Amino acid sequence: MGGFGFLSLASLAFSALAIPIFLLYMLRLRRTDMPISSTFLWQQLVRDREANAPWQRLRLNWLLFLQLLILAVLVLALARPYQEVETITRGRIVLLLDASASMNATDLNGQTRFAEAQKIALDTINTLGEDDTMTVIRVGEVPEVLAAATRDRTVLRRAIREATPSVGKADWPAALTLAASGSLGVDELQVVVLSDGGLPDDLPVVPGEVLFVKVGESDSNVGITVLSVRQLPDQPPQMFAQLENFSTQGSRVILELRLDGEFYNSQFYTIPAGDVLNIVEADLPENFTKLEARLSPPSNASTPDYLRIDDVAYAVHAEAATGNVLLITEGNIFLEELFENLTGINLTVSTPEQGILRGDYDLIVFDSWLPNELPTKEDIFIINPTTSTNLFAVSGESTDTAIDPITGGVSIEDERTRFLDFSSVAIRNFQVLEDVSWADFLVETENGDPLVLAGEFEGQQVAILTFALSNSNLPLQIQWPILVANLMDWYRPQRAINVISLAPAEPIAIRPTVPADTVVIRKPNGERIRFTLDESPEVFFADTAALGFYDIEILLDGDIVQTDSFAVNLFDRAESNIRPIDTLTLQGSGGETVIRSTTGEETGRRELWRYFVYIGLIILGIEWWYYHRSRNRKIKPKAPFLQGTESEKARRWWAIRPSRR
Amino acid sequence: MSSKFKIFDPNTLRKFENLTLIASQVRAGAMKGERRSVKRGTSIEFADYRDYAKGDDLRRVDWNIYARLERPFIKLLEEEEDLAVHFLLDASASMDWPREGNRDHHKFIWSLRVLAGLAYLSLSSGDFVHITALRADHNHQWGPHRGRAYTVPLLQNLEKIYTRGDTNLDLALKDYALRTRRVGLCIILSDMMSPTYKDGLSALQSRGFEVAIIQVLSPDEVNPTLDGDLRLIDVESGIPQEVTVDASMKQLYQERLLAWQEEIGDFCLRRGIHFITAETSLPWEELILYQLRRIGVVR
Repeated sequence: MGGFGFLSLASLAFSALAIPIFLLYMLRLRRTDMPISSTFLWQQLVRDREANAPWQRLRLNWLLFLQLLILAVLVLALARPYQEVETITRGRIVLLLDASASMNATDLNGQTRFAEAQKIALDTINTLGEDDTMTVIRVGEVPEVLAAATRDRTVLRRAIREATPSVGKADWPAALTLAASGSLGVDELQVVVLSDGGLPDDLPVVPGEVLFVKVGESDSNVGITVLSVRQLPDQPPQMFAQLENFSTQGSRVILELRLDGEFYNSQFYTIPAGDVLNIVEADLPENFTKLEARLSPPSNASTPDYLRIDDVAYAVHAEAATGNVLLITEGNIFLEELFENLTGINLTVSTPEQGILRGDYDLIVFDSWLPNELPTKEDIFIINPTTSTNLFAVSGESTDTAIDPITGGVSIEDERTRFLDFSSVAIRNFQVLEDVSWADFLVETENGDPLVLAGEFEGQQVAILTFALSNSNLPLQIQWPILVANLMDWYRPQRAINVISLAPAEPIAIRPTVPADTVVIRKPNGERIRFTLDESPEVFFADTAALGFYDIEILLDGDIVQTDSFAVNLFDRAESNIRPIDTLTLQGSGGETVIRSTTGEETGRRELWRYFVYIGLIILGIEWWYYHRSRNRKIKPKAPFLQGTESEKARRWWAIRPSRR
Repeated sequence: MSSKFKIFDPNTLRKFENLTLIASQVRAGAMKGERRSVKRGTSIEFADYRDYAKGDDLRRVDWNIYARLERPFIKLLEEEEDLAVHFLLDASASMDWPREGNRDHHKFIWSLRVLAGLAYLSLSSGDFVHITALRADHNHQWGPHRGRAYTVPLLQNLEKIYTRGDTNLDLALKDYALRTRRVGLCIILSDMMSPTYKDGLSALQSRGFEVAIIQVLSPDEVNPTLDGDLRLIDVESGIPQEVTVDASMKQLYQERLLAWQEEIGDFCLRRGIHFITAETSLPWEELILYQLRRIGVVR
């Protein structure tokens, strides 16, 4: 707390206005003429010999006193009194308010770090000079400018009060870039970082001075940093969880598991200080889709857990989609290796001599061999067809394998040719097929002969590679597994989403694998968001700021045709590690800059004129009240002389009555 | 004063009939007047005897007593005389108030009606009635007259009286006391808005007048309706008085008025003068029929 002073001493000259106020009280009022029967009594009443003079003697008058008081207060306000206070900085300020998940830690006497940062920010606003400006940036998953370079303290205060912390990771490089963008044309930019840490080491240097204010005290936190569920073929689902103790003391926790909302299991675990505990739950029941893991401290826990949002984690059990594939080949190492490595594939290999083995297959792959009669139930993948079938006619071999170097011979806008490029693929010769109007040509030569084609024929999905793998360098290229994976996706519909766990605010693409017109997403709070699939076959959803399960319903004509779920988890060691940092490191062209945490080193001036104005308004109100009270005060009317009670009349008349003659 | 307005309108005249009743009670004798004089005179009613003194009228010696006692005694008889009633009406400009509103509350009109009522009673009682309006330019006089026959001339005369100017009540009373030959009952109707009045009343008393004062005030003089920053102009003297009237000021005024009335009342009490103060909102006949009878001005 420092001294007091005035920014505008010259304004004190306004106190000379007291003179006209005095004069107004001494000057006789201009009065309204009013005839009256006799001024005899009024003259006696006033008894003021100076009544007719322009000036009257100044008397003690409460209204005068109050008016002088108002003047004094207003003059003081105009002189802009200030109080010297300690502050972080002054001038052109960019305030970066860390809104990352770790700012939810409640290690400040039950108050969150974010609330403390808000308090520091508000204190800084209170000490801003009249010419100082401030920009407030909330540093969350996406940095957000809450107030842009304004002097308006009301706007700044409201921006800071309305800010909330996120549950995700802060994007500091983007925030500092945003802060630097405000430095254009500004001489002395002051960037104030209100944070507890979790900043990356390679932050860009920003122009101007960077001040770092540390928020937070403790590192006591245990969190779930990994949770996943997976299921291998012919095995029960497994859970893998990782618990990490970030504090410098050992900690005991209870891990509770819930499957589809129903309690499943809970167990005590002891995690040494700074250690990681991996937990595998190998024998989970088959039929569940959602696993929720929740950490809680035992009742006798000695180590507090200040960050609660990493004590809960969510995982979706995506059932493995498996398919039985029969490969009939003379022996093709490329094919066998590839199918064996594809997930969710049960591969059975046969030879042309063995023919189609008895079994329940989803797909049959014919490599350079075809049976007399093609199967009619299973999907078919034919490589190097040598004889005509009911699906096509082989008209001979061709060596004219030139491919359009620009397009790569690949049909664009087809899911089955995604990421595919045949421009570097060399083919010696291929079978020329005819009568294949049912199929789409996925890859073709410059002459329009199909190299790869696929389509549906009487309910069967059929794909054909018109050349032998041994006559091409395709198996040696990356295009080969891409092509097969694309075809497998086509044969076997995949999930509508390709991830089942996201970080907060991370976007997700939802691509229905069945004909659909609407996608509905239900957020963890129950809110349902509806998207209509018009032209785009997929929906991008980024409103994933809340932790929890998100359910997807894909509809066609109002009927649910596909469902899926994904989970949003913190899973960020940098955020779960709530130990506040003491220094901030910036990487610039001039080398590394280390900034230490600062607290109120500058002297700010807290202006007090508003308080004087408030006091002046209160006194004005009192004056108004006093004036009207004195004007409207009710008096008890005097009874006329000849009215009143009998006793009063008697007292008046008979007391002055002379004795009778 | 509006010419259309009749001071003695039919309604007022009807009220005179109530006064007739009192008049008939008062008047027992005939023209001679009924009031018993303190003088010993020539009437037939015996009062006392005294020794004869040289120079006494021999006709008044009681010869029967002389025959029996051989000493001359003079028979003293009570003289019965008619009373002279003097009405002094303040006709200064301050009596011309209020100048708007209910005319029945006008001080001068109200005073004229009271005066007419009292004069009618006096005429009916066989008293000599003498009316004088005290005015700055010249005093308006009527009378002396006696007898009920003068009722109509009285009313006609009263309607001619008007108010004007500034009257010095003290001087006017002293002047009247000096000029009057026959003393009697003197009834003064005035608002008494004058700082000096005591010498005039003393002069009347020293001449032998029995004095009664009726102070006439309008309602707005008792409860002022003024408000705000005003320059009050005295309609009589034209003297302005600046004053800021608020609730507390009104209260002070009423206290001052009461103190003024009590000051006059105290003076009158000490000097044996009848004093009554009346507000013009009071029906004028009620003043005569009730209030003045209570204090003995009217029997």
